[in-house]
Amino acid sequence: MRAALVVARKDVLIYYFKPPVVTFGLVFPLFFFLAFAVGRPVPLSSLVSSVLAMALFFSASAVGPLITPWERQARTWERLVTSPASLEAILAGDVLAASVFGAGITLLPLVLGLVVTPARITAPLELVAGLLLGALAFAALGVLLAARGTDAPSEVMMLSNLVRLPLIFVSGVLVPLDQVPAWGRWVAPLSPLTYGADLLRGGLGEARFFPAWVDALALVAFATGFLALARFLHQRRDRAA
Amino acid sequence: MPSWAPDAGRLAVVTRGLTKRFGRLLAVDHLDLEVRRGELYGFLGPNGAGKSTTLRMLCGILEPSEGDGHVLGIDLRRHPERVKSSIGYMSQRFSLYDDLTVEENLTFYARVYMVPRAGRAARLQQMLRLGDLVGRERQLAGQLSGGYRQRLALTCALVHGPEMVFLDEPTAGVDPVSRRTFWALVRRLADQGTTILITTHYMDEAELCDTLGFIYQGRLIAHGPPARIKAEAFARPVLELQAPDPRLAAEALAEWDAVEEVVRAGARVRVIGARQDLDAAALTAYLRAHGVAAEWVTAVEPTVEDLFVSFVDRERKARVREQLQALGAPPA
Repeated sequence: MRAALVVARKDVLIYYFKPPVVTFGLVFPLFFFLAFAVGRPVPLSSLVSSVLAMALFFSASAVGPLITPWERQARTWERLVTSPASLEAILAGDVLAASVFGAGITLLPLVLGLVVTPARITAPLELVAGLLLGALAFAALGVLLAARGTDAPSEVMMLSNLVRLPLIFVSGVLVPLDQVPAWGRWVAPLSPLTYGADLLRGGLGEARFFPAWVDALALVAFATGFLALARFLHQRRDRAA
Repeated sequence: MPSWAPDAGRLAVVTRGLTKRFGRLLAVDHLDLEVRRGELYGFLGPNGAGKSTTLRMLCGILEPSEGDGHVLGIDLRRHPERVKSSIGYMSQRFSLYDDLTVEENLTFYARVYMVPRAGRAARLQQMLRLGDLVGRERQLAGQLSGGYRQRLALTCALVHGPEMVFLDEPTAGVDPVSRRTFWALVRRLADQGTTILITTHYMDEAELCDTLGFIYQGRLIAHGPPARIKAEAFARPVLELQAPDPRLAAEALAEWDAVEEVVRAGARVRVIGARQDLDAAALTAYLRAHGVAAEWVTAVEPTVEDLFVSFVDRERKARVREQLQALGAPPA
């Protein structure tokens, strides 16, 4: 656990405290959402939960896919795995840093939304669970995307967008799940964002699609699955290197 | 229980039949290695010889395909995590976080290696002094010159006070002055009792080691103190000559069956004999008989590069010599 905290602190210092990263985490999801919402009859208060979900998803999963490829290129990865920090601790550190960054960034649109829109927190526990578990699952997705067999950041970015954008489209963030066709409702459970957004919606007093416990359990399952797969891929790669 | 027990009091590293395969590629081939505690051991070999793979197995980050090994008495197969805690490792290209300062890099590794908080500040100061980095604590690692980066990487490897340090080509790409300073530091560490296993391409650096191990195509082809290897394993005369036309002299000598290898270095020609009886007089006479003038011919000590190349298959000699010289070894 201590090694994970050390790795997380290093990640925050090196990769997250950069103005472009912070800006990207906030601006990109906002404009992405507005591109879909403007001109459609979306109540202002419901904008908040969707923007929160998108900000959380983007910020928690944005940098994680790049950390390992950068570190492998700089050979700091090799140096790190030679230290007593286990692979599990390194991955946990990466997830922790991304989760803290994602949840922290998401607090800004939350405060802004509460101030300038009629949105109100009606179920604090669900909101906090949505923020924390969502951050965990999305950060774990980022770490999984970093475990692929390439060190070229451009390839990782392409893969990252190839995976993350479809997850947004099927998640019900842009179009509520009760308004999508039946096939959409079948596909939606495949995206972790579906459950994160659902919990955040519940926290802000909007209708949830799943029970809160299902959302929470699904996010924990996604986080665990992503991390286990990331660990397996890293081990396989390091054995072959 | 292990099938064999190393003399952990005397030996820092012992391997028996250590082997690593990557698919069909045999990277390390049944390596039997012994490194005594407190010695400076030079691990030499051209690119792809298996040096780094061996190091990665000894550091506990790569599982051997076959064989066993102990580092500081710890079984590599059973307790690789314990090995990692007990050793220091400096990888190629220094592996520093460029966006962290000198102090932040050191602090990071001190924390990763669980250096107790109570003595951490004093330990960091000690490391800064050791690496001559005092006054540069707030400088970003990415802004340091090669020599300072190299010393910072070494201090990061030493921050937890390991008994043994693995240095993987630590002087690659560093200027000669920094290399010399670095070697003085490494020598001092070894003299103070730290066991050091260092890989290098630079054959002049190899002369500074207590013991050398030559690895080629994954096999340890020679092992021992440089002087002993020269005396026992390299029982051939080495001669050097200067000629008005060194190319002509080299071409003439290359045809002679008394000569094993001819290496040109500027105006000089270095000749490795194939027979014990080759001496300056015989060589001068041969050249004269072939119409080639020589200003002088003299017997010289074999260099580590001569040793290394002599262990390599005859048909690969020229290629290996070229490779070594391209990598920065001084001309023979």
